[in-house]
Amino acid sequence: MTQPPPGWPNGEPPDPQRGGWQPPPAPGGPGGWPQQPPAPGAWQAPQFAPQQPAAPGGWPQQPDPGQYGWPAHQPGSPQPQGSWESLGGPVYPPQPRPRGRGKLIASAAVVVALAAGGVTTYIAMSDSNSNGASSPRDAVQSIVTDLNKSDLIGVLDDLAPGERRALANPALEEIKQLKRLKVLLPNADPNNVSGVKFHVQGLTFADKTVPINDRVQVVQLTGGTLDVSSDAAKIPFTREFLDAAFPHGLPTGGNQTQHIDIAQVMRDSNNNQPIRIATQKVGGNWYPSIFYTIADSAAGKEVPTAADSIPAAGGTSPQDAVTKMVNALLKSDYTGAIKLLSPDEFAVMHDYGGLLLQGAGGGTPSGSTLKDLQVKTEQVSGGVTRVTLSSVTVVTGADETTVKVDGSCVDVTAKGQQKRMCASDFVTQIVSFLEGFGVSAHVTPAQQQSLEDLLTGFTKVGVDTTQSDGKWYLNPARSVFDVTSSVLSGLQDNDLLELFRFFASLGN
Amino acid sequence: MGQAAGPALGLAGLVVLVVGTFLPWLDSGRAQRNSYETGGALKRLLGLRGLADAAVSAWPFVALVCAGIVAIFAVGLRRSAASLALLTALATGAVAVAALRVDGNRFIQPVKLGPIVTLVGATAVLVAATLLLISARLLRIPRRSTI
Repeated sequence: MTQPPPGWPNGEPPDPQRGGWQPPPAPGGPGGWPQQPPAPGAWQAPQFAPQQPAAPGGWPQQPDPGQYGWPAHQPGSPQPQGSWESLGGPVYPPQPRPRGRGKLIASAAVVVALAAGGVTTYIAMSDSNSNGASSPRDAVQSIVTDLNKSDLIGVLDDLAPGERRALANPALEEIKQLKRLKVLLPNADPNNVSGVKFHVQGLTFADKTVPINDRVQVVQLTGGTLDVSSDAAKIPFTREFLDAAFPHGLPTGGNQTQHIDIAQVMRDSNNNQPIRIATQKVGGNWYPSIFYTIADSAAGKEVPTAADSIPAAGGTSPQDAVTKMVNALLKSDYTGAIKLLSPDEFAVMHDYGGLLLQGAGGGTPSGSTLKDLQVKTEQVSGGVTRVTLSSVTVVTGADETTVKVDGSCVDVTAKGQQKRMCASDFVTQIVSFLEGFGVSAHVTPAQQQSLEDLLTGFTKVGVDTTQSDGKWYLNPARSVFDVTSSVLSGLQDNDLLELFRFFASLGN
Repeated sequence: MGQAAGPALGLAGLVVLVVGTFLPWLDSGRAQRNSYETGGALKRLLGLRGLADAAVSAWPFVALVCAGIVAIFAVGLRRSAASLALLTALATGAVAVAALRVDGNRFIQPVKLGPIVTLVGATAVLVAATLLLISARLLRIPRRSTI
């Protein structure tokens, strides 16, 4: 409990009205304290109103920190709390401004840092976005340069974006699966890993390119040489794989070299015509195009007109696109089928569609109609949605056939009869089939399991779809390239090695 | 000495970090790629989406962020600079560690040089930023007053 100050009667403050002690009036007020400094050495109250200008001859504007034993307050640090705070705290003179030289150095450091950062970022952005070429001929030259370096990433990156995505993801996924299944070594010298080396030199081009449309031009090679050397021994297969696939050792003659003289090829097998490589313009840059090169060759170098164009018309969902495709194919409506192909991956079919269909001729309808199609969808890499079959019902005349996928089994209902086929049944049939041809096919339990896993992998094969301008389209190239990795995904541990052992043992 | 060592270490770390991003990160055949070329190629080839796409798209701005840290420090906002440096070091260090953990394959081999140098730089920045933040916090604690 707080003790009253000494001198208070009965522990209570004296009553001023009865002649007791009175508090002093405010400084400067009527009858208040004199406006003069206190005597030297006397206690000085701190200012109650910081920043208040002192009257001439008034009290000092601030106490000397530390003069009364207070800690010197550091500018920039928070005010200490407590009784000191209630007194209003000390008042300090304004901090001296940084000297002009210090500010100059700081400003210079900021400018230099930001300039250096800006330049470095520009270079980094250029490196990150370095893709495509400024002309069709440069595009071809670029992929040749990367082939010479055995630069797989560079070769894939040189391709037109739609084709690149169709090839790159499946290729990388397949490599991953082969490593998981102990076929390829996890690490290898990248200079020798592919087992195939290209060396192209002295390429010459025709003066002019052949325009197909405003997005596609054909570059004509007129000379140069291509040397291709392949050495199977340099492919980084695992020892386990080599033992399983080649129990009697690698076949000899694996090291092969081929020399191709483009001028000679033109003379001998191309009616003295240049070798044509199509290039595609995407986003202002030119890329070599595999699909346009194939289409150009398939069309006999005929240039498609605007009338040959088949515009893209996708589905509202992946399921819708696949359903429309199945219906179009059952009706042999190839124009309708081409409309459903991805304009990013398969723009070539929209440009060349009419021209190619003229040569192919019209098909006859299958006579079957799609009654029901149930699918599963799965997101895979690269913004692709894979559509796999759950069940399908097709009506042909009066007959109705339903195929339903159930794990590793397939239920087939036709003409009122149902039959269930599982992976193990297929394995038995395969062995019987081989033995029917006089092939000795002894299957170990491990090989039986591997074959079942392989067949189960086929149920994971699907159709890849992507979205473009709000519509869903089918990606046939990517779907085809994904088949291998889908099938391999069903295999476990030594399954693939066991399969190679099984196939190597056939006939022994 | 101590007060000068932090900023000096941080500045050196930032420079090493940025230099590391321009060193080889990937071998493909006989071609080498720095982190930006690698990121750009992977983005185009794999069609990255979502967070991965955002991270790869933001990666080229690492140097600008590092420059920003130096600028912020130069104008006297030391704690802000240290905080940003800390985040940058953690992010770039994580990317470098991830790159070091990637396996090679039949055609493509990650190169350790670039990620290791970046990781060294990031570690130096991390240490410097932590020292700066700790020292700034210590200076904020008032000494006990004795009246």
